[in-house]
Amino acid sequence: MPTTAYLLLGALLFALGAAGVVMRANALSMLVSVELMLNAVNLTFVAAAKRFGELDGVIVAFFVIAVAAAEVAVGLAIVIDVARRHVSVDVDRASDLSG
Amino acid sequence: MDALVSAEQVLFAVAGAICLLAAANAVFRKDTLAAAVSLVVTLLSLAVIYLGLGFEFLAAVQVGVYAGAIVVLFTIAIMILSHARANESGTRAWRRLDLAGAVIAAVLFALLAAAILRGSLPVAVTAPASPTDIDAMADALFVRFLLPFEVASVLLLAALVAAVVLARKRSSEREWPRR
Repeated sequence: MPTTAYLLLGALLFALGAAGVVMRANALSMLVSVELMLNAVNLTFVAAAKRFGELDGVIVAFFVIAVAAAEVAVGLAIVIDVARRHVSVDVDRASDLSG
Repeated sequence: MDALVSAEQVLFAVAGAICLLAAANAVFRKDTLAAAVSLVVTLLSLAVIYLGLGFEFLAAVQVGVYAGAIVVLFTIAIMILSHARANESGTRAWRRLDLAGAVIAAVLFALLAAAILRGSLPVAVTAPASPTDIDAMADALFVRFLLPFEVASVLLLAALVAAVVLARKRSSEREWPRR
C-alpha cells in the first residue's frame, strides 16, 4: 500500500474533525471532533514511521495518545462546569464574556 | 507484485472505509452517546490499520488507552450531562458557522491533498526494514525519549488534579439545576 493512501486518509479524517469543531455547537461533539483530528495526525506519523523504517513516528503517536488523555480529562471537566452554570452544553450559550 | 490484490490493501480499504463512515457519523450525529460509540468504531478501525502496518504494540495501546480509557471518560461525562443534552443546536436549523465549517474543511482537505499528491516523499535514509521489534520500541521510549516520557507522566498527573478541581461541586454554588 503506498504511503500516499495513508496520508490521504489522514487528511480526510483531519478535515472531517475540523468541520466538526467549527460546525457543532455541542461541546461534547466538539471534543469528539478534536479526538478525530488527533487520530488523523497519529495516522500520518505512523505512516511516515513505516515509510522511513524509523520508530520515531510511533513514539510521537504514543505521546499524542498520552496528551489526548490529559486533554480529554480537562476538557470534559470544563464542559461539566459549563453545564453546571448554563444547564446546557451548547457553546453558543456560554458567551458570558461578550456581555 | 502480482496483479492480485494483496491482503494489506484489502485490510486498508475495508478499515479505511469503516473509519471514514464512523468518523462522519461521530461528527454529525446529534445524539452524543451514539457519537461516542461511533468514535470507538473509528478508533478500532485505526487500530486495525496500525496492525496492518505491523505496529502491534501501538494497536494495543490504541485499543486499551484510546478506545478504552478515553471513550469511557467520554461516556461517563455524557451520562453525567444527560439532563443537559444540547438539543439546542438542533432547534436552530442553521448557524452561520455551518457554512464556514464546510468551507474550512473543504479548503483544508484540498490543500492537504494537493501537498500530498504533488509533493514527493524523500527517499528513506535507512532501508525500510520492519521496525516492529518490541525491544527497539522499548529502547526508544525508555532511553532516547526518557525525558519526554517522564514529562508526560507529570502532565497526566497535573491534568488529573485539574479535572478533579474543575468538575468538583463547589459548596458555595447552587445544586444542579433541574435535577
